[in-house]
Amino acid sequence: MITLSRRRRLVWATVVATSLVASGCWDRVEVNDLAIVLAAAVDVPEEGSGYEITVELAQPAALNAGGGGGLGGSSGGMSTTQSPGAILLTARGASWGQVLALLQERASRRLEWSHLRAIVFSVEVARRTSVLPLLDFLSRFRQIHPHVPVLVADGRAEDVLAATPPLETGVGDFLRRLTRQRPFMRVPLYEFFRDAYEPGIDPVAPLVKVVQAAPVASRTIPSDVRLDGAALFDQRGRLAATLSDHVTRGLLWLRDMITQSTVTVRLPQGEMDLELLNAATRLHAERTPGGPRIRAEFWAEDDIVDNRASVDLKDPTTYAQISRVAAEEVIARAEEAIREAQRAGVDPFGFGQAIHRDDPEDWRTWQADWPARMREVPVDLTARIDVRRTGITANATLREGR
Amino acid sequence: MSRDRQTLVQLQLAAHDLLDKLTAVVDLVAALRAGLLDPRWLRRKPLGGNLDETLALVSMAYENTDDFTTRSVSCRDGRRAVLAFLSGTVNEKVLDRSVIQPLKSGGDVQALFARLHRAQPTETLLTMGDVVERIAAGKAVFWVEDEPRALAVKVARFSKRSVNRAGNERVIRGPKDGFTEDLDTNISLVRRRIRSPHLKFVALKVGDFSRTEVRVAYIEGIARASLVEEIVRRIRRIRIDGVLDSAQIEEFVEDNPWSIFRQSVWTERPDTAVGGLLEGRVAILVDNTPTALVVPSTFWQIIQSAEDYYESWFAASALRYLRFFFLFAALLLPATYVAVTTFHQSMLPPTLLLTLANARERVPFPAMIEALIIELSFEILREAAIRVPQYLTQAVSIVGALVIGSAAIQASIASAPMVIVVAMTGIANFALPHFNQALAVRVLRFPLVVLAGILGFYGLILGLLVILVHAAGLRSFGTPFLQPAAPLRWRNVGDFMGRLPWFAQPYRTPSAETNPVREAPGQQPQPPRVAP
Repeated sequence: MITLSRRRRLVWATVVATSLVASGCWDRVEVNDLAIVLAAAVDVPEEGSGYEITVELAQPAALNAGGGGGLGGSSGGMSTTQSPGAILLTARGASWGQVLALLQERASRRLEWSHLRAIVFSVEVARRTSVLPLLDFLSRFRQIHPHVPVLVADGRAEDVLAATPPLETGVGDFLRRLTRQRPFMRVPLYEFFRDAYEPGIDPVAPLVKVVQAAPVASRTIPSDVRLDGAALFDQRGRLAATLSDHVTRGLLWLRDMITQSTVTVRLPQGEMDLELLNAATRLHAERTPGGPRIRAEFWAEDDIVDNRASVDLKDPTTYAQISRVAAEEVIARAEEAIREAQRAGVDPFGFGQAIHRDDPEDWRTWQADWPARMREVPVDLTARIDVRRTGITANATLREGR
Repeated sequence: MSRDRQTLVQLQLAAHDLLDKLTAVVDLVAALRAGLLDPRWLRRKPLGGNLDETLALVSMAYENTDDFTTRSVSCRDGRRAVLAFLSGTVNEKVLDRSVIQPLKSGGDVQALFARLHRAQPTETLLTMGDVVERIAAGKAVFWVEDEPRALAVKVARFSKRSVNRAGNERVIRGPKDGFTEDLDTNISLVRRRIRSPHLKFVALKVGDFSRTEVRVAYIEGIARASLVEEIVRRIRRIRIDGVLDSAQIEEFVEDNPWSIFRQSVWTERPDTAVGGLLEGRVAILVDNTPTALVVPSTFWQIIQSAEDYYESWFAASALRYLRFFFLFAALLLPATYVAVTTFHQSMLPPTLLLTLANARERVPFPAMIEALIIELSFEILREAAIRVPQYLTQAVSIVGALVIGSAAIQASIASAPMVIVVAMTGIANFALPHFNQALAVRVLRFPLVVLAGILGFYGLILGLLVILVHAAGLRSFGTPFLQPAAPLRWRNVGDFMGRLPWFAQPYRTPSAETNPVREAPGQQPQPPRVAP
């Protein structure tokens, strides 16, 4: 134990006490002094240059407005006219940094970006200028989490934030939950960064659009956000092409991002649906006299969910037939995606990386004009689909009786 | 000055020795009254065999003492005898049967003394001071004419309550008896659990006026002799007017009396005390105290309950881990809440942040002040619940629940999550088995809230470090306070956070260094090789 004289002890106690009290709580920010940013949308202004950034701010006070106030009234009302728990704020500036200051100027509370749930770029931003300057800012800004999903809006990005999705209280929350669903294409910010800065692969992002939903059983949902394909970027961060929702499946297969989907198989007897349970993709590059060749191997485990073709599922040979047709289907989708990417001269699949991995010497000579070479690189596709189970019956009872 | 006084006293003493032989009793008392005689002389004065003189001096010592009673008895041989006692503390029936009747009928006083001595716990007294003191201790003292000694007979009848259930350390399984205020009862409660001559009680007396009996109990051969010596030495050193409870002794004998942590554990359960003795600890029993102090103690006893040893080792271990969590909850929960909500919002899941922001929307105070307000009102309720007359406890809890639980939130003085946090903290504090350590935790969470409110997690960790460094530096009678965690003692880890079955933890606590193994090895039960 340190022993101090009584006088020294008193001095120390005074110093500690005053420094604690006098320093105050400078960095203290109460939760209710924060404006929590839930989603951000980047547009190009209709005239002039720069960016127009719209943010969705949480409005916690409004969360229990519908509950009649008082205790435990956070019913978080599901209004159909506007998202009740959130408001939108827009500012225009030459860069994200400038816009940030402007937004803060207009908000009565400190903007808190750490809970950002989605970033939406309009397709125009990617088309007219590049997204890279924006990414530079985002990669430096410590409040933004690298797991935030990136989306590209077909149309204006602010319209996505203005949408009033059902079920959720705000668009940010909605987008986050939506991108978490398995069939959806999820590109987190860090993955976008990585693809943008690494040679041999180009970034992609899911393309979303706002749809005015048709009235369903007398209840109208004014607007909703749907996945509508994928946006392909080139190395400079410009939009190179957009893929349709259908072709995007092939892109997901090649990027090894597919986890859950339904494959419709066209057998001679009719159609049947398989549910994808587990899938993996391997990309390899092979060295040939004419340059590298890409070999993509798909593997998947599927369950049968629907047997409209009425094939006999008790017959083992049926499975081989189903697998073969399903594999052809997957290859066809992938080929379509490759065709479109090659036409646009981008490499969203990471073919370049595969060459870099398997054939580093060739890659050194090819790297410089990879986008041009990408257009012609030959690709071999193989697929193996294992059909595992048939649900809780083999053949439906109706058919058995026949 | 003092030297002058000393020589004066010596002169007086010499003079009084002379006086003693010459003057009449009346003059002696008059001299004492007039302050000419030093009272110390009286204390040391040998009994002279002058019955009236002794009676006069004893009566003077018990002046204005209504319950002081004397009886004159004529012995058969014609000599007079005087019996003096305090009426409330002596069982007069027993006194009559065992002392007065033999005195009246008995012949030879010498033989009577010897007979009484065999039949009763008696003491032979030789000085005036002893006579006066034994009477105060509740004994009956008698002396016979021309006998230069007195006999103290123990026929005490102090009021005492019977052995009751230990009310504050309840268990489902295990013995239910608890210590009482009566030292002899407590000793017998310990003794009936250890029937060995190795169980020792060192008798001490503390308190100039109270003359409170203190017993230092230990098991010879298990407890370190130097530890016992040290404890006895520290208790002997105490100079105080009176001891009302062992708590006073506790503060006089601890290694670091200024620490917020108590370095001894009290228990009202004889089995816990005996468990300590068997581990090589020492129990301090104090008269009029229904608890035993068990030393040395460690900080981790805060999560150990008597029941751990009576229920399944598996469940007991799980409960100890749970209590370990409670310990941290009781210490850190409000501080963590304040730090996270005012400094580290990005640590919260988004939905939780929104919920908290919603709850705090109309609260006018910073989270730290809010926490302190709710904490204080909780503490007020807790204190009031102890003091309030028993019939009103329900009223207090209703007011507390309504005012704090509901009205404060509705009036937006505080937010609901804060009330939840504070309530959980309070309940977690109650769940800690050892009240004296739990009190330290209860107090420590306030500075931690303030630190968290000023510096966030930085302050919180700073405060925790200060507490940790302090606790690691503490010693309880030479044993490190954080043992067996720091310093790490692997052989004692079996009974630390968890509790291994008895056959798997053969080692006593480190305070029993001389005899560390408590059981024979290889006692794990096994199924028989052949069916029995």
